[in-house]
Order: sequence, then structure tokens, then C-alpha cells
Amino acid sequence: MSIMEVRDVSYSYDGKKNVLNHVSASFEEGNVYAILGPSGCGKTTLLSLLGGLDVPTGGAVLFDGTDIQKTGLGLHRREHVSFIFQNYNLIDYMTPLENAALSGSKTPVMPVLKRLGLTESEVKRNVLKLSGGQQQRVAIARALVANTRVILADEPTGNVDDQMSVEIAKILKESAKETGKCVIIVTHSLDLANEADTILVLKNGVLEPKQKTEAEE
Amino acid sequence: MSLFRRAFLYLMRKRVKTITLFLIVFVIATLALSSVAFKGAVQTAQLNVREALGGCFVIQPNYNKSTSWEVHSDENGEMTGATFRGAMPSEELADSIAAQLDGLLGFNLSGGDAIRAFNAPDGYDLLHVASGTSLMDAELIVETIADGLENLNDLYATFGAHLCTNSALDYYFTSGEMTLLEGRHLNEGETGAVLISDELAKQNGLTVGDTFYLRDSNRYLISEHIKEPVYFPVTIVGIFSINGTSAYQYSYECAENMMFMTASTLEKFSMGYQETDEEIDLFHTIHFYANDPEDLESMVEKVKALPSFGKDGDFTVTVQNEAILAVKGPLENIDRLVTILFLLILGIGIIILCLILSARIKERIRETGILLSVGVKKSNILLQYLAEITVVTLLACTVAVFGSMFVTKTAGTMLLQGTITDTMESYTQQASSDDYEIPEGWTTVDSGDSQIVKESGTLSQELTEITVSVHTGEIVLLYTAGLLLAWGAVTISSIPLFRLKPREILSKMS
Repeated sequence: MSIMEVRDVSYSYDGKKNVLNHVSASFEEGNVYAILGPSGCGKTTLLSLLGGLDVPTGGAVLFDGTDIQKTGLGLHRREHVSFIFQNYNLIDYMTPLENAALSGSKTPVMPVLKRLGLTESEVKRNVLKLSGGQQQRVAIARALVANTRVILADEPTGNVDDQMSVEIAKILKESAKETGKCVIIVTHSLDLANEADTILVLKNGVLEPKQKTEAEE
Repeated sequence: MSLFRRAFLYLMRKRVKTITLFLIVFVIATLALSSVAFKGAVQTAQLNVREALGGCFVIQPNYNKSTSWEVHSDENGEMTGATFRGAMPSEELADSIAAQLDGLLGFNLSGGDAIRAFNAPDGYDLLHVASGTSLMDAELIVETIADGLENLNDLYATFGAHLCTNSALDYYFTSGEMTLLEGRHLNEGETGAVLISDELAKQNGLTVGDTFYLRDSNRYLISEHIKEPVYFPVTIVGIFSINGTSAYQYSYECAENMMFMTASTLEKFSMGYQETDEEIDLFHTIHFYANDPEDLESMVEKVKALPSFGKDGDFTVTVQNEAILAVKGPLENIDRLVTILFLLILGIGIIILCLILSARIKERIRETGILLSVGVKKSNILLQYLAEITVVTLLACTVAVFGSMFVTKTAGTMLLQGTITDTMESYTQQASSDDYEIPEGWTTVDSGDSQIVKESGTLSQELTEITVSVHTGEIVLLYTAGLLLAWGAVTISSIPLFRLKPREILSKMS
């Protein structure tokens, strides 16, 4: 059963040209989805609509079969989804431990950070003193710790090297399988997309599923 | 993570920003509190000046009215003198004026006469005078006899009776020239009670509760051929001190020998007031006091409009508020200056705080976006920012209380005292009389019956015993205003940010 669904969703910035044009798709728990597409095609916009950061100009975004606008966007962001951003978006005056605990979830933070490769001393430093890869792991830890069923990742490997990209992809996939979370990744990286269970391509405002081989091509 | 924890972390980890904000709020709060305290002190000083200098208006007979004088001529028709026959102030006049004025504190009628005082009713055991010359001065007796006995009154009178209807409102006391040291003031219409000076009491070993005898002056007894004068026992109910020394030569004119009493006491022994059916003029002056001396001018205008006043009226009315006016100007200037300063501090403070807080909020757009993305409500984020500014404001205001205490105790008090002292020195120099040889640094203050030479600094010392201090009400006001200002600035600065959609905030972040 799908946990999230976009139903006939359209979005326009100026009210004239649709960035998203009657897009429909559904996302299931325990799966990793990769959304590919050229720059400016509306991938991040779609992710924002899924995360309740914005509202569609047409159609609806459903969580567990209910329109998220009816349940409330704040509540949706707080209880249903968590984000991983390309530029990490960590609060600069907090330690990794405090950043990861920001959502207020009761899930212990330290084991997750340790699993992601951060040491005892690293988790107590200021986040700005960590490398880019470490900061992204903290951002992933924050998403994993949050008691949500969907993780929305916007170019999570955009600022890290290839080796780290593979590691991040592996972590996200494992999380999806182990915890049953639905992971939706917006990316340019074919390598990362190939780690996903399903690849979707957004082109000319339309979202279409693609075979992994097609994506590779 | 709770908003308080986030606020705490921000304040502790962003130390430079926190300390900078703290210092700005501290400086604004210190200046604002100091100026409020200083303004309060200036107003207290103004009130003290008005009360201490005892502004009043005075009603006296119109001595300029020519028809009120009876001219005496000799056999050749040459003028030998004149006697004033005009109307004198009376209790009826005082009552009728008082009935027409609102905001009147009270009034006192005063008059004077020459009397003698004895330890026993025998005509021999005289009380010793405390100042001036009297019958005991043999040289003076010779001089006076040589002058042709016109000044017998000066020789024989010895003491001065100061009549009053309300001694507490007598100008000697309200002007600060005399201070009641022991006992109490005279009750209205009280018979057989007197107030004497501490020097007279010391000279004769008298104290409150002691009794002595009063009698008419020798001159009156001689001129009226009275063989059996009345000796009336009076009890001392109060002893006063004189803030200066008497400027007169003869003892009965000196303030040190003055005895305060009501007219009913005088009437008991002074035979001139007993043996006639004619209306006797007891008083020569009425002093009226307003609750607020600021109202004196308007009261005088009302009195001047009465039938007995005016150019050819029986009475004159004058305001005695020169001292108040002399000090009022500089104090009002300080008051205005402090008000302008306070408004400037407040205005500039509000602008600076709003700009700083607005910049800080804009600077935190990334943090706001992150918090929104993890589902923190906008209201919760705003409360975090409010909690931070609350802590900083409370700490800054607390330190500012001590800061302003220091500022006001040093600079404020010095400035205020300096202004009053300078003004009073200049006032007293202007008021110095040329009639007597006054020692340097002293001045005379005319009070009607007598004249007292007063140390110039005395009055200003009394007035400058004022300290600029911070009061609880002002501290509460500081905290309230400071918090409201800080909360307002944070809330207003946050409005543009919180009007954005989370996605717009995140776009700005990237």
C-alpha cells in the first residue's frame, strides 16, 4: 500500500506555465525512489510539495490516503516526513548530537550517529568543525532519528565525493529496508539513482517511471 | 528539542552576539533609567523648593493711600507728624478672602507689640533678654535721655510680643528662618501659651512647661498713668531656634526676644486692649498659603479684583515667591533638558534595538528554515527568539539598575545640587539688604515684624539635601518598558520572515 501519493498535481510559479503538469505517482514504505531529470525540470518543487513546504496549484498530495493540506502542513512536516538537503542545513551553534535531536524524537541519537561513522568526540564538536561528508551524515542522522515514515532527500550527495556518495546511498537504502521508511531522493547522480528500487524521470512537467538500464543510458 | 533549550544554546554558543546585544540594551536601559530617576529628582526638587521657600501672598494696609493718614501740625500749622488711620487686616477680612479661593492651604494674621516679662508678678524680677540692648544698658539710658525721652519705648519695652493666629503658618516658620525645636505650635485662639526662642530659654533657664508673667510695657503704663498693671501667667508650649542672628539693636525688636502668642493672650494683660470699646487693630499682615505655590499668581489676581484692593483700596496684596521664581527657572530648564534627553534616548534606543534585532532575525533565516523543515511551528520559533531577548533584557536591566544608581548618585546629584546652590547663592546675593552692615556671606530676609540675618548658604543647603535615586516604581517601569520594547522589536522584525512560505525561506537559504 502506498504511503504517499501525488494525484494529478500541477504547479506553476507564475500562474501561466506549469512546472509540474498533472503529475501522479505513489510511493510505498520500505522502498527507495530516485527522481531524475534535467536542471529546472521541477524535481525540487515536487519534493517540496511532498514535504508540505509548498502547496500545489492543482491536484493533491496525500499521506496515508489523506490530503496533507487537510491534516495541516506543519503537522505533516513534523510527524510524517523528514528532509535531507544538499547543503546539509545544520544549525551552526549546535553539536551533531543536538542537530540530530532537533526533531524532538525520543529515538536515541548516539547509536544512529555512531552507525553513520561519527565518533564520540566528533558528535560533541560544533558541526561547522566537521567535514562536508560528516555534516551530511549528521543531516541523515537527523532524518533517521525523526519518527517519520518518509525521508525526502534533495541532492543528498551533491556536495560530497564519489566514495561518500556511495556510502550515503548505502545508508539510505539500508534505512529503508531496516526501518520500513519510504525514501524519495531527488538527484542528478545516476550512480545514486541506480541504488534506488524505483527510478522516476521528470521531464516537461511529467513524471514517468524508467527502467534502471534506461536511466543508465 | 524545546524552545528554551534552543534559546539557551543560542545565548551560550553565540557569545559575542549575546554580549553585544546585552551591552546595547544595558547602555540604553542605564541612560533611560538614569534620566527617569533624574527627572523624578528634579520634580522633587521643584516641590521641595516650593515648600521650603514657603511662597505665599501677603495682605497689608495700603500705606500709600493719602486719605488714610492723619496729619499732625504744631501751633504754626507746620506738619509735625502723621498717624496712619487706615483699615488694618482683620480676621473677618482673612475669612472673607479665604472663602473665595480654592486650593488654599491656610493663612496667618500677624501683629506685634512691646511687652515686659517677669519671673514673678512683682515688677522687679525681669527675664533676661537674649539679644540687643535694654534697660540694663546704662550708656543707652544716658543717650536716650539726651535725645529727649522720645525713645522711652525702646528702653522700657524689653520683649516683643508676636501675635499670630496660626503659628505653624507664621512666615518666620514657613520661610525657614525659625524652626520649632521642642514642644508644639500654638493652637488657634489658645490663651496663656507662648513660644520662646532657645536662646531666651537658655538665658533664663526656662524649658517647655515653665511659666512666667507678662505685663504691659513701661511706656504704656507711664503714658496712661497706670499704677496697678496686670501680670498674666503664661506657659511655654514650644521653643524655637533662629537660623541666623537678629539685625536689630533694641532688644524688643530682636527675634531672640520674640514671644509668639495669640491675640487672646495679649488681651489678658495688655490693658490697652481691655479698657476700650473701640475696635482695636491687632494685626498688620496676613500671609496666605496655597497648597501649590504655583497657584499663587492666579489667587492674587482674584484678590486684586476685590473691592478693598486696587490702587485706592484699603489693602495691598503682594506675592512673596521671588525665591521660588529664582530657583524655578533653572530647575525647569533641567527638567526640560532631561525630558528631551529621555525622549532622545528612548527614540534612538528603539531605532537601534529594532535595527539590530531585525538584522539578527534576518541573519537567522537559515535557522528558521531548518526549524520549519523539521516541523517546528512558527509560533514556537518566535517564542524561542522572544525567550532569548527576554533573558538578555532582564540581565541588562538588572545590571542597568546598578549602573544608573551609580550614574545618578554621582553625576545626577552633583548636577542638581550644583544648580540649586548656584541659583540660591545668586538669589540671596540679590536679596541682600543695604540697610544694615551685613557680614560677608550673610544676607537678610525680611519677615514683617523683625528681620533676620541669615547665612547665605543655609537655605540652599536645606534645598540641596536631595539625592537623585532610583525608585522601585522606576525599576518596574524599566523592566516593563524594556521587555515590551524588546518583544515588540523581535515580533515586528520577525513578521516579514514568518510571512514567507517554508519553501521560500529554504530558497533564500540556498
